[in-house]
Amino acid sequence: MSAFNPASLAPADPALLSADPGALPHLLRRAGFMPSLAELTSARSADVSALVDSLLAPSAESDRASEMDRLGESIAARNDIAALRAWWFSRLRHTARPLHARLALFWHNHFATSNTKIQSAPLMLRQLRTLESLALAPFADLLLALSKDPAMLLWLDGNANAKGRPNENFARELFELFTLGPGNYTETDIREAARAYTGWHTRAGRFHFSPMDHDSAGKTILGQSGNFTGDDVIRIALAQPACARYLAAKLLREFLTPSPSQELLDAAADALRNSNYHFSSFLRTLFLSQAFFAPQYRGSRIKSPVEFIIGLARSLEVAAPASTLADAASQMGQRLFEPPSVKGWDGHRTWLNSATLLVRLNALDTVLSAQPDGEIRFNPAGLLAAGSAAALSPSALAQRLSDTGCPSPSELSSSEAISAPLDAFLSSLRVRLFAAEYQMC
Amino acid sequence: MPWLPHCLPTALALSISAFSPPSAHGDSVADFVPDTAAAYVFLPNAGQVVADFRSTLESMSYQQSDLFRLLMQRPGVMPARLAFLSMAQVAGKDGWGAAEALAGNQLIAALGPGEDPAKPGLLIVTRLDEADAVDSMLTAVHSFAGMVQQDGTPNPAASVEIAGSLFFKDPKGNLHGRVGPTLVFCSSQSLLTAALSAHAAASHRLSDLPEWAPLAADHTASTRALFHLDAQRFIAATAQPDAWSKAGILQNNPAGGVIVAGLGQALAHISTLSGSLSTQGRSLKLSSTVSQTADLPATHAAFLAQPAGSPAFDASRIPGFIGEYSLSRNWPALYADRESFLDLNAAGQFVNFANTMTTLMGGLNYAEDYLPRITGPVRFIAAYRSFDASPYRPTPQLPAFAWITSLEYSSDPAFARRLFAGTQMAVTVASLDRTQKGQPSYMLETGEYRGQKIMTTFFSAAPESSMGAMSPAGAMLPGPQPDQPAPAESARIDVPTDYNFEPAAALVNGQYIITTSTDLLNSIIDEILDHSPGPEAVGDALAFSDRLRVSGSGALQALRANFTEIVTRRMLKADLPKARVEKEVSAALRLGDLFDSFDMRTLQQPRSWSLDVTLALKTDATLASESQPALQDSSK
Repeated sequence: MSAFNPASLAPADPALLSADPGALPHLLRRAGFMPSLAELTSARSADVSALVDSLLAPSAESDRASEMDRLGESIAARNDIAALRAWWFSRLRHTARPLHARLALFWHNHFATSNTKIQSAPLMLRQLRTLESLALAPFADLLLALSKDPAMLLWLDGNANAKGRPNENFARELFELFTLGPGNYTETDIREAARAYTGWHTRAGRFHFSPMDHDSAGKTILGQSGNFTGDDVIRIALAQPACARYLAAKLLREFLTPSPSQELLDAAADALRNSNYHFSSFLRTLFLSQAFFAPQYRGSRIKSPVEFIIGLARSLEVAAPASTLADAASQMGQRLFEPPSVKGWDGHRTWLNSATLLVRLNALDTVLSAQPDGEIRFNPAGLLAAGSAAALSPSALAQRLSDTGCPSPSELSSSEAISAPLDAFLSSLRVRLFAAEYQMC
Repeated sequence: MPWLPHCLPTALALSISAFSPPSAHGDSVADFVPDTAAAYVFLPNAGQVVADFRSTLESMSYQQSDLFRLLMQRPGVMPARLAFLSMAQVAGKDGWGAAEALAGNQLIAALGPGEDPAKPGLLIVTRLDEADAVDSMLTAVHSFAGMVQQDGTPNPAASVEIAGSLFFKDPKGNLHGRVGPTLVFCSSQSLLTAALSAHAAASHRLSDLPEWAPLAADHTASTRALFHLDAQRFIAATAQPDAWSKAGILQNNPAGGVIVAGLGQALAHISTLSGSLSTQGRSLKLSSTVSQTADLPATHAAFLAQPAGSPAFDASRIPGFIGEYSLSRNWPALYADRESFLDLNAAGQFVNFANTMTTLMGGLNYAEDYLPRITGPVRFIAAYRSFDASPYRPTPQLPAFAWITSLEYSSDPAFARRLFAGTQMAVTVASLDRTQKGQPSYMLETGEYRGQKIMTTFFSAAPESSMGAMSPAGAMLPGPQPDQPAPAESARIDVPTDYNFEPAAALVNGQYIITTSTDLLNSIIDEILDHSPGPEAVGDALAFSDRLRVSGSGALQALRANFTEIVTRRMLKADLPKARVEKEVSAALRLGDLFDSFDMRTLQQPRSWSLDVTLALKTDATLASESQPALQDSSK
């Protein structure tokens, strides 16, 4: 058996993790994006446990992300969703809280709401703010906030849900997509739950409870009876065993593997339930587990377009117009604020096809062709740090390539110094970025 | 074909100056330019231009400006500056002094046939006042660049003798050398050979052309540069036969075609382009004329400058005036001849526009009832609009705009009523359309302002409710209320760009006014009723085809109101930190703060098209960062 049991959420041996040079980069990539050199250097000064704690802790945001963050409302006021998307990408590019950023993306996909119907950047921003602020909160809090979120109510026709003519859209997605998953509820449960949400409307861009439209009569939902409101429905749903399994499976697919084993799934569901749906606690367990560092899971996920483009920009320290990053991700199939359906993006293998792969390769080519002072700025000499004139050992060059998130180079085994390190770096970088492995993380 | 234009720009033709005869300094720089030159720029007092430029910049304390610091931070700028200063120091001069010495007392830059048939050579000749100083600098450069050997003799690999004069050659093949009192630079050896031959033979020179003498003489002390381009020679020198084929310019765009199709015809038949650049105090004036080989086609007669009328008011007196663009056209003829300057699709759009206007203006036919009544230029005016007293703040905050047409309808007393009713209907339909699209819609009111019937609008619902697709009507928004105290900044709501537009209209003394704010409408009515055209407006009475005026302070006020918006967009675009972007934007706004006004006029005549541009700097303009308060969003 491997030192890292792929089905176990038991803690991995810290000594083994310390001896494993790939452990830290793997953690940083999965719990965020491909890291910058500065992030890598900083992470290497801590052990894995401390690094996980720092990722989970609500640490201070970077200056660049903070100053952009403060502009969100004024950008949204233009009601230009493309500008707001660019704003989000700028924050993703510069965030010092990559795990929180990843979680916001995860919840944006989980509670998929599209501006194509909402047509309101301010409301989409408000929903994103909710997802970000409650990303690591108890799930009940997040669910309740989202069930009262104006964009969600518009998206799932909350205003049409009134006593005597319940609209089932929200109740259906609550069970099918947000908590239980298909097959774990009945059509009667949906109808009854919809009655509990009658009168949950929006007014002037805010949640508005309309008592006249609320059905306060008794309901039977998932085997329980009472004069339930929407809050009660959430409590009842979270108490279902299926909820923990459904959420655990989604979290494992996001952070560990697209195909978790039954044994791992059971363990994750237990861990999630035991944490009382506190994701901070669950993710700490996951990120320190043997399964998380199991070799077969490393490099097994296909990067989402946002992971790909943001990771590329962060790891190669590329400066680019935020709209360019956003447009690239859109062309690769992930247009933030506009998920394709209530199910969100399917992810993994569906990210890659002949068209989207071409866009990814074009993005790589654009970056590698960029100049240090152009609209898209890339400075490989700066990445090399030692400068292009000085000689560099193959091992040092290999380390630099590895630091940029490239697959480990094997041919750089000679001990002879490289006389033109910048050229060698660029050519090796090109080979590796265009390799299939670079699409994985 | 005449080598020089039939008629020089007005500024040149009228100017008689104290002309220093060439003999006082020796040869004229024009003696070195072959008469085959396709284009040239002549600076009769080049050194003085440099000195005046220096004086202007120093009066603005440019070295204390962020702009200067940002410029010096650009890659390569500082090393180049240091190299130039080092060279200047050799001659005992500072940088400006060196530039003045190099510019000499006359300078000409000309384009002529070079080795490459598709690329004209560049010839620059300066007549030096301080030959010794220039020689010192050149010697330093030659030594530094290895153009001379250790024994002081010219490096054979970097020098060549042409027509008995020694020239040094840089790695790109550019040549320079001293000939008598002049410094000659040329990018082409064949052009240089032709130039020196013409000079030596004292024939086939630019200065031998009969047109040159009056040109050289007819300039004033304020004339900084004269330029001239012969289209046929230029086409030959660049091997680009289609260079001036602009007859079809913007054929696919109705608005663009209405503006530039006349110019396109002038360029399509261009003979020469000539003009001058002059200064007067802190004003810079560019005058240029395109002379044509043929008359403007009859199908484009609508673009010929129309008889000047007396303007109803001077737009520059409107509070917060930013700019005005006026078009003078024969509108009925323009509509009738639309297919001569627009492609079929664009002409169709023009017709659709007219049909839509006809529908909206119920009972009035746009082409037949409205266009023939236009008696003067159509005017577009922009004025700063403050949202300080408003409960909301559009993003970005646009100026208020006005569209003003002078109409003659004395023969049809009912016309005014029909037009006003049509305007109301148009706004109502537009509002309905906006409601269906989930955009903020209008409430419409009619009333009076100073005895004039006006139509105004205001938004029907609170901004936030308009963003939700299904929200009920919220509180009415009366817009900015001058009598009310400004709301606390934190209480103000950021709203979309749409909230900049609240249509208002009136028909006052034959002026049909449509604006995007009631305040601007009232200001225009005030001007029409209270003021006869002022001194500035007398200039308006001169015929023009197009006129664009911009007030530096008005434009800057509008930009400052959007400081945060500009910074935000730049941050997203350039991926730069806020502090740096704020510095860049502040520096750019500070540059804008130099300008007092910009005035551009065009005049389309049967065989020429002319352009006059005047750029006036503020008398107290300064670039120094320390001398100005921080440039920030004035709405904050």
